[in-house]
Amino acid sequence: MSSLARVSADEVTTLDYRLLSLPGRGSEQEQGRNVHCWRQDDSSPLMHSTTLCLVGRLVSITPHVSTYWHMGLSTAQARYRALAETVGERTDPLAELDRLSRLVSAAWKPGKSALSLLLEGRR
Amino acid sequence: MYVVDASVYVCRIVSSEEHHEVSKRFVDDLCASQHAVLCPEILLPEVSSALARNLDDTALAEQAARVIRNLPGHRFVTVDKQLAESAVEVAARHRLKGMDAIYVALALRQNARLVTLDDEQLHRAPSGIEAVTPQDELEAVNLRGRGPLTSSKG
Repeated sequence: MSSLARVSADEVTTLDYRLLSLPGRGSEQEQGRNVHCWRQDDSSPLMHSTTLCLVGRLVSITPHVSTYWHMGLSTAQARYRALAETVGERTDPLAELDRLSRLVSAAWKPGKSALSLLLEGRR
Repeated sequence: MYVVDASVYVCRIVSSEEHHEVSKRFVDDLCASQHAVLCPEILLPEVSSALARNLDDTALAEQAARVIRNLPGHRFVTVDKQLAESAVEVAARHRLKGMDAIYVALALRQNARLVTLDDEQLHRAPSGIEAVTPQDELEAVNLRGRGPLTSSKG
């Protein structure tokens, strides 16, 4: 990992979620907080090309995605692990909880509340 | 020792929830104090299900379960035969839903306080345990002045 430019967890807060959730093939671009994210998929998981562009800094995690994929992880899991490794371990669980809360809250769709959905599941 | 219901974690995570702020204070204080927290393993799929059904995002829902599993002081308890049988009794006697009864049975077994935002757990839990909201607990702890959950955070 030493050849990788390391980025802070804060820089990748929004990007992380988008990277994991971009659907389909081809190239997509998202913008937010001066962060751009591209993902290009070929038909084979081995050909995943995942590149982060953080305010002009290019960081490729493709080799690491492949490594984790070869270890038996799914493509999504491999990509998550590679990204987590790139940004460094997040050792503060409360910060991780806050980060998760920001991601979920930003993506939350209008409609039933989370509590309602939970209680519905108990019917 | 606490048993904390999935409702508290769901509200901690989703900021649009009415009880978000108080759930955030409670969970964060709980973690910061390293207080012992017991949760049945079913909490994790409950949370991921509630999130996934709105977000339609598998990875994020799974990530939520991972983050909760690693929170400080939290221990996740398998629903084994003994706990299941206790929950059967609780459900039958107190007209609780099956999932609710598992949390209540765990709190009974461990002599722990049950912290929840589920009305049925709050109102139908047997007299042998204290079932309280996060707000109740924060206020009670502050009133008692015994510290581990006190916090100046808003």
